[in-house]
Amino acid sequence: MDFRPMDSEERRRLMDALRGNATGETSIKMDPRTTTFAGTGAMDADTPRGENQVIDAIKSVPCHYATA
Amino acid sequence: MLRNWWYRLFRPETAPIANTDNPAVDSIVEATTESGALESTPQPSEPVMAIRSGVLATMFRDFHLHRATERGNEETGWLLLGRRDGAGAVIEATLPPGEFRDAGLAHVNMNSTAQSVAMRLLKRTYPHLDVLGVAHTHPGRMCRPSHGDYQGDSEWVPNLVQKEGLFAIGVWSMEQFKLKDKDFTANTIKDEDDDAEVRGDGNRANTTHEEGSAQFHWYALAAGDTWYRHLALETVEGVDLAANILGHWPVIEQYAGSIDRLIRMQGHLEMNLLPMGVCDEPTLLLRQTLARPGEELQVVLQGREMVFFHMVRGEPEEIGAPGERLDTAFYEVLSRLTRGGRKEQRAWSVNHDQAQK
Repeated sequence: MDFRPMDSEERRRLMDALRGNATGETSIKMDPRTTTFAGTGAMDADTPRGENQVIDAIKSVPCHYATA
Repeated sequence: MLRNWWYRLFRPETAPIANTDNPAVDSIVEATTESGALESTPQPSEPVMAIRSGVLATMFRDFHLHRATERGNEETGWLLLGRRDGAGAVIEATLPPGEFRDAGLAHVNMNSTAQSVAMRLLKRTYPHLDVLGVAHTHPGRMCRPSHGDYQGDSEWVPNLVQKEGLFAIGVWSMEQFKLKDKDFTANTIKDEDDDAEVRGDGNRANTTHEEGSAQFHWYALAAGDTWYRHLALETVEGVDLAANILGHWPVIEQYAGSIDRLIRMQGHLEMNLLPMGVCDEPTLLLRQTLARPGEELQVVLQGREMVFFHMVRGEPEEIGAPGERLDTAFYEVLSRLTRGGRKEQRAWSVNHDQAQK
């Protein structure tokens, strides 16, 4: 297997993909034959979210005030 | 007491445990699952906004009970859980605000740590559940969201599926404004507060539900909206999917902070509810697989009592809790169990138990 380092363009694309994945906006795709990075995809809005995303949403429920 | 029933339940002669797949615990989990656990939620052909009748019943019951308590004048609230299908949504479960909520006459901040632990339990049986929104009460007849509500909710809804939240405002003692009365209109309510105008038709059917002195007024808010809109919410048959864990709420809330920290740090920590019929009180069982084959750490939580068991090929070895806080005690026990040989561990366990006595 060829373990060459990523070039700068590949590294930039991977960093963008990781950031998008961390914010829950994009998925990271992988070539199943070579396990190489194959770009990003949009998250399906109807796909159940990961448990940690749901838990984060619960923990960020704001305090509710009857007045401003 | 706690030890007695644990041994009744798990002692080797009645529940042989050859490996970490403890059949006794699995059967308990099944017993805690409601008969309709696998029932399919109605799949609407068109986008429908709905709430299960069981959830609505829970909210009304809680609201009435809350009003009868010493804290009855404080605001209270509910976390709304369910399924979103495209533009539609069905509220299928609700979680209470918790005894440790921060609330007063004009605010409520729910115990989100306890709610998140309860949600993890629910998602084991209902993996599709997500957060749909929040219901909370207001003092007097203020049945519309406040500017304070909007400030928090508008920042929160981008975290939700479809970036839209469902909200309810609960109010009490609206006898003079019964829904059937002609005078009960959005304009009547407008006299009670000067919040911004809610979009949509507040007189549409199902934008309000009432039972006795309690009413819930429904709204929706999407990311980027400048204000809420009235929401018509159909009632569909179905139980509150969270009903079965509400009996265990006290023990969940008691240990929620520690359990939350442990779950975040331990990748394979398993949490089980033990059914009320087996235990005298609501009880939680935590299970952590250890590195050695056939070994497991079990923690039983009941009220303020906490007992550790080191399971070795089905043989339980009780370990006294080395501290009152669950997470620190857990790691102290874990650190002892993951170093040294079995003889050393057993000697430590015996010495520790003697010191406890």
